[in-house]
Amino acid sequence: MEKNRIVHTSLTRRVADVISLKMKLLTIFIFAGSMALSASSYSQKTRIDLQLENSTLTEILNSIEKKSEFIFIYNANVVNADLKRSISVRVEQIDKILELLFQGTDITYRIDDRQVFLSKKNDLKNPEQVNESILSDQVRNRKISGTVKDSKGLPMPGTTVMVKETTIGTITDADGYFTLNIPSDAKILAVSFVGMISQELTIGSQTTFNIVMAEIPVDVGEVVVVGYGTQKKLTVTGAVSALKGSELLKSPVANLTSALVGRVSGVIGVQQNGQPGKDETTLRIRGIGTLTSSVATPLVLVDGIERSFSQIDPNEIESFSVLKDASSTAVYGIRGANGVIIVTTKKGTEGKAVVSYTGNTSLQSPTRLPKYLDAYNFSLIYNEALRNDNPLTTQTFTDAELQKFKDQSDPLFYPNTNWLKLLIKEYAPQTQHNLNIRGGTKNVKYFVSLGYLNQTGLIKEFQQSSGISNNNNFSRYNFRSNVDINVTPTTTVNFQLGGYSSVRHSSQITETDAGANTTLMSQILVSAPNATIGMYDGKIITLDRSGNKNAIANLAAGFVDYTDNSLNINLGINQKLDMITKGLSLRGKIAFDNFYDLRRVFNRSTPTYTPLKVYPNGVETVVFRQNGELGDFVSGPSTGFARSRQLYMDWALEYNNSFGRHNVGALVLYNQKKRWYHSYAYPGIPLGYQDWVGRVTYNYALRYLLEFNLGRNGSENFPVNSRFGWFPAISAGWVVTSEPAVEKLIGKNKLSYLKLRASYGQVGNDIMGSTRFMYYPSEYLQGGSGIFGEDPVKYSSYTEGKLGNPDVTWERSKKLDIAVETRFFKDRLSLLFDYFSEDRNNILTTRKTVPSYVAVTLSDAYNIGHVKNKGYEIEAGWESNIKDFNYNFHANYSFARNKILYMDEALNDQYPNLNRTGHRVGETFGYIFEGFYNTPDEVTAAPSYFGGRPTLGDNKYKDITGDGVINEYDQQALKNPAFPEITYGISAACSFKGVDLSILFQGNANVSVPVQDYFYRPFYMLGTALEMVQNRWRLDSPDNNAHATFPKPSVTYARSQNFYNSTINIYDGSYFRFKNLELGYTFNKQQLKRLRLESIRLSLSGQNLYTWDKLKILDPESIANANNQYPQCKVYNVGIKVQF
Amino acid sequence: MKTKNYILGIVIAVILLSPISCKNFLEMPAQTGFNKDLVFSNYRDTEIYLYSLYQSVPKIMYGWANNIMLFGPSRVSLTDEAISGSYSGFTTNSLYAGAVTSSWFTTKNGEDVYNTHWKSIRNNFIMIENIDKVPDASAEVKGRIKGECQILIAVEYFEMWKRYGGVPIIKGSMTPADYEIIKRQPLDAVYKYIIELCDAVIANPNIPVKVTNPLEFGRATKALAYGLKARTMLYAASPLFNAATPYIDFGQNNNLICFTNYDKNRWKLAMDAALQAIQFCESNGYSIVTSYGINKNYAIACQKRPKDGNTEIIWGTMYNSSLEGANGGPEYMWGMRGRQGGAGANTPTQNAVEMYHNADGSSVNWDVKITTPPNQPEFPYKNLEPRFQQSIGYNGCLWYTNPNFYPQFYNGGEAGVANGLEGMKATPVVGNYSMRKYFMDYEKSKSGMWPMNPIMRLAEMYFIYAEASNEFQGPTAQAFDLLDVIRTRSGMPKVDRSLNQAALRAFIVNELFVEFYAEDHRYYDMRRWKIPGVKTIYNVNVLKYLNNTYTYEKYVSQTRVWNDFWFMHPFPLAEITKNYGLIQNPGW
Repeated sequence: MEKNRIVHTSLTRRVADVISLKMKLLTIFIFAGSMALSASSYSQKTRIDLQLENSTLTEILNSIEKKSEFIFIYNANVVNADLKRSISVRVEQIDKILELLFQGTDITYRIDDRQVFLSKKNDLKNPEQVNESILSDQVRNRKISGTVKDSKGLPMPGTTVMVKETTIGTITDADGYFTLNIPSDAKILAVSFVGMISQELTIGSQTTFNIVMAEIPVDVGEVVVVGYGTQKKLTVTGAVSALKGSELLKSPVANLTSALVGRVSGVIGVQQNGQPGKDETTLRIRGIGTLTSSVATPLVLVDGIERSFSQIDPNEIESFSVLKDASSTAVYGIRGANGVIIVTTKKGTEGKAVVSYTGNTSLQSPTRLPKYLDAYNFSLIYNEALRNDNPLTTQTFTDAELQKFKDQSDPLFYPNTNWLKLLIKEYAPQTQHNLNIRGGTKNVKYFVSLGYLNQTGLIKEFQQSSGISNNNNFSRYNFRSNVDINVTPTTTVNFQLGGYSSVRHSSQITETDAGANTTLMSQILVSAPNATIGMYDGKIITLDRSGNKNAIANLAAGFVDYTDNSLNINLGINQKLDMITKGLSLRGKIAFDNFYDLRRVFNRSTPTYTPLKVYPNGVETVVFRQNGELGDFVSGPSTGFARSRQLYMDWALEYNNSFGRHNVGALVLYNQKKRWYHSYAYPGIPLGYQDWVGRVTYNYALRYLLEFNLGRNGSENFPVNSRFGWFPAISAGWVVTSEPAVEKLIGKNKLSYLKLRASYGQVGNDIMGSTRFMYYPSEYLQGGSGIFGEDPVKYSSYTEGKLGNPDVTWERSKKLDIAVETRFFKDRLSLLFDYFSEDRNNILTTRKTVPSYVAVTLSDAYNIGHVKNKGYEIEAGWESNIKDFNYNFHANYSFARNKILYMDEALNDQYPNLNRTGHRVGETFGYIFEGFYNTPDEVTAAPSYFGGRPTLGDNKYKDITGDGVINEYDQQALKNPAFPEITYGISAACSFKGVDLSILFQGNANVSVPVQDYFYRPFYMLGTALEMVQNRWRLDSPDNNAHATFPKPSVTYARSQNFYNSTINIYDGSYFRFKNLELGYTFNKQQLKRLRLESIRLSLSGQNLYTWDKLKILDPESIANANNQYPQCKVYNVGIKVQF
Repeated sequence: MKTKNYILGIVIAVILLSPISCKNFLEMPAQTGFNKDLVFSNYRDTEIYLYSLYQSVPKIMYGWANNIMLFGPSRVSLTDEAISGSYSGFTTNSLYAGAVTSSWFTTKNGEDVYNTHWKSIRNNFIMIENIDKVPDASAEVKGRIKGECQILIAVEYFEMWKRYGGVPIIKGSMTPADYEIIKRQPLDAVYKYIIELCDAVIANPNIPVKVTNPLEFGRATKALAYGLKARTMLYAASPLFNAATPYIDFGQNNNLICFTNYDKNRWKLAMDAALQAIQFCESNGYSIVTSYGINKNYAIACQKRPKDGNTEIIWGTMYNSSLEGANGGPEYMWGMRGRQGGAGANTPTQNAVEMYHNADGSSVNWDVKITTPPNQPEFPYKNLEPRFQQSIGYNGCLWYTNPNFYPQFYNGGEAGVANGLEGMKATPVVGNYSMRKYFMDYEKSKSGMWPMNPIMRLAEMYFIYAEASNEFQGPTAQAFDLLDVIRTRSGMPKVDRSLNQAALRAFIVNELFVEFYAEDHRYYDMRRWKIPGVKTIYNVNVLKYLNNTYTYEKYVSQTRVWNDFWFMHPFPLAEITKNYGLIQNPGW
């Protein structure tokens, strides 16, 4: 202990000296602000209580150090350790205490802020020489000297230079220079400075030393990508979550968005669809801070340019950064309010070329398919439902017919078709290959990657004989080439080329037209089990019977191919300008993107056959009536294409420098972007953005962190004279564990890291759907039509478009973020707590309270919404090892809850239950289900029911308004919003020698799924009925109705009130999922000597392996009313990775 | 070396800095955005805008693709004229069961879309307010367009007035920034406003009395103004509005849903207006279609174009299925199920069949089971009047020729007899009939069918005169004569001159049903007469036997709900909850 504090020095004073030498205006400014408070006043302000009986001087000094921030600096032989003293002072200043303490000794002292130098009387002339003189009585016959500099070549004043295992040492001066007389037997020179890696040098015969100190990599190797740059994780003061690309590779999913969920805090995701090529996960950062969920999409940047990342090969990804608070997103200003996701692709590394091949083969299987009734029960309940609708109705299916459905004695006419079994495969393959080469020399570094993905759909083939596939298929080729070249010692050029080409094939005829019932799942949903046998003898069979839809008939009728081509090019240059001033550099970037999508629809008429029983000569014979002819495929009129290109350009001046422990950074950046769309409003005018960005960072010894970010952005959506807005954010951090006193007090072994940070700022949003030029007045659009003429002609015509809002401006989101980051026990345990709140006003939305008679097109944007969003994130981790067994656990939990403070809604005093204001965004409004009307008495006593009388078996809804009438006014917000408020992930991983294992569990909570239409109403659109109908309310078995969980079925929806949104059909959408498992074995170089390979890794992995949920009808992430729902899939995967 | 590097850096900086000089980087649409001033800067664009004003003319047949209004069925199926199949998308079923709310009635998938009336009114006002700016249009053209806009505004007000009673009256276009709160105006005020608009058009010298250019068929004329005035006055005189107290007491708001007095003179006004309309039309080239024979006159009057001989149509539009989009054609929603590919959204009821009489004036007795002679499935219908044959398809009728096609609406009545191809199992149809009106001559090919949407024809004026004069002064010779013109052109005997006022009233109710079957009159006629909706809907069960005989047996197929507060429409819930003081109609 004693040795450790043998020589310290006054850092502040020394730094002040440095600054006087190399002063920079900016530094002074910041320095003055942060240091003025602490300078020299400490000793006067601080009062200490001290009561010690008969203690050694060392004990007393220790005690003072514990009670204050004072540090005593002295040579051990100055202070007589045996000297014992008693001292009793109350609320006394340090100099008074010391005076008392050293009364009658030969010790004198000098106070410099928190440092107290002790020496023998007469020695204290100049602190720099203190130690020299202290040591003068020792035998020293050699003199050494040297300078200490940091890695940037800047002198390091105040560095301790000691002869190891002695008390001989000194401190460097303002120029980092030291001289030291050392004993002849001195062997090792120890050099140390807070925040730097301590060094030990062999002295030998050397007399001059040029010592370069390296900073302690506080978070080993952790550099985080932030907006327009990178920062050390330690110095980041904004809320930024980072994820390494390698983490994503654990998930064998085709769409990159699906791999993020559960691994990063603050990112809430829902994968609503599983269709190959369309299985993107909807991501929201810190929930929803605006009035509608669909517009709360984060800004996504790939290598600094706004691009989609969902179709990038995961092998190309270096890292993800999720920027969550105002501090980190202010540089994106007008686009930053919904958070930002930055994807960075891999770059070359210095070293020999490493060739990696990765191959994966997977099987996909639906996580859950709905369970449908068989033909017998379907027909039975159909009869019953018709009777429910209309007691007078004749029995559609006679008892004899029902028997045939049951015993399957006549399957052609009385089929029992399980469409899911008939049409859907249990497993569908998926393969993925990637080959990449990474390497480089000092001057040229490269990363080149080629990827291929093929994902097959789950539909069985029915059309192979005609040479086409009715199954879904998605194949994608990815490529990327990132090259960095040092053109001159100060100039770096990087060239990034990336893109993909994909073909999505699907049996859907018109994918976009959800109402046309042509998607696969909707075909199954509208094909009743008793409708037809499907195919018989190669013929597609339709029967003249209830809902006689045959899913195969539509699957055979056509297909659609989407061909997407996307090309991204970045060209960047970085020029150091150290000549002008050290640490200055200029960089610039030009990016060009091109996207082309071709959609081709192929349709043909396909004959179906209707079996008929005829009786020639009284003998029953089956004949088939052909309906329609087989036509040729025609590429339908809906052949279409979309294309866009964008040109981006930026330049930036960046400055990074350190002055002793003052680290200063600054950035000024300008960028502009144009995007040309083929199909968009105002197609002739490219979409443009223009931004100026400023950032200043300062930190003192990586301990006190301060950052200021500023965006000035313009958006075409706003009036010409008020297009540009300022978006400032300030943030600060304090790395408590870098305080020597704290370190001393607790010790790095217990609390290895503690950072407090906070940020506050304002960001914006300028987007509302695809509306452009929101201010632009009185627009007339081509559209609408009048049909005139005796031979009718449809005239295209002008209709009034938006009126424009001359006062429109951006959404203003004020965000606060406060976080504590900690690590304990030599970084084994880590904990993070991050609280945030967002207050967004001026939300762009349409007016909703304008009376209908005003009748203007209300797509106009007005800044009238106000939403608050608050929440927190917790991350916890444990990383450790038992010898070679490394293991870790991580957990993250994110919660975000919003509240509508204002939307354009006339608050209804009479029916406050109808108000959405005050509720969360996306809550479903409906009725409170209170059981069924089970007895005639209940019906008689019932209130007026939607204008009529309830009947037996109707849903009993709560009379919320209490007016004795059940009607539309009795609705209220039900349960949770449709987008989850909580998401969490728990992961664990371990490795031992070559084996590694990782698992991920993920869950969403506080979410409701309204189960509607196809997935709730039996016979909806004359389609199928779900098994849950079995437990229905039945008129003919009143005893069981007490346990009924489903309303009485209806065919015509005569009793459609029973299918209104109510608490009976709004399900809890929470789930907990065994999301990912990966088991791998890596053969090391030694094992592979013969093969001359670097490594081989074999892995088994799985995705969505098991789910605990409450929905039970569909996968809990589904939208339970969409007829184009394609099942989410489990994936079982075998992978290999070879490096050579 | 070092200097060179910096020079390179500076060159790069210059290149990169160069775009900053673009001051107006963010483009704006400048004058490329097409705005109101440009629309009215020349006649060509003004005319294009005019086309849009006709978008919301009342429709009898809706296309499914439009995805509005009952989701397929027509208003026809809300009455006893027809019934919709059990397809759950057909929202008519909700009404049958009484399960309707204000959201059902007046928004998507209901009977009306409230907002579209106002949208249309606004668009017409914009035209009226700006037409004078157009430099290259003559005063006559401007006058004509203004007149058309006034009629279209009057049509929208009439459509709202008959449904909602008194509504806010606006007399110009407004913006969300400067609109004023307008409360519901009394029924009487809206009535006067409609008449005022009609009178303005009648006085307008520039509006044509009749469309003479076939390309302009569908445009509003002066004849329409006369007709609309008469129709409005008929509604004003009818029991629902012409009453001291409304159908449900509405307290101090009674004047929003009735005139708050009974005034017999309103019948006189209607009678006179109808007579004026008849005289005006018949002196300007309109006439009742009588010259194509009793088996065709009616079909030509209802579904054919002027160039096919229809001299009777005052306002109609042609319906082209290919212009309405896939599945949008009326033949799909109205047509026959099964082989004809129809969805049977509007299937005629037995109630409708029973409104028709035999050509000799006698009736079929449907209360007993009818057994046909062998091979004569058409037996019960064969003597029914020509208008029936031109309106409703039935088992064994000749649907089309070459090749002959006879629909088979029957089930097997005994073992060994298969169901007919249009038998009962072929859902979603619930009745054993099929809509024939509008599809005469078109059955063979679905594509390119252009039935007409007859919004107003001269025959209606005859009926308005007959009904109003009967109410005002009892049966008159002139009323009988006018009715006879309509009946005799379809081969029916003249009206019995001995009918008294009450009997003639009943006769007219029946005759209106027959003459205007499925022409969108029944639903609002029933309401203006304050007659509750028909609750019991009948169908006929047709069975075929081995000996090729058929039996026809009438049965109750549906019991519908009726509530008296349905006499008038509710305003949409979303409109009421805007809380600007719109008073909801009673009962809703």
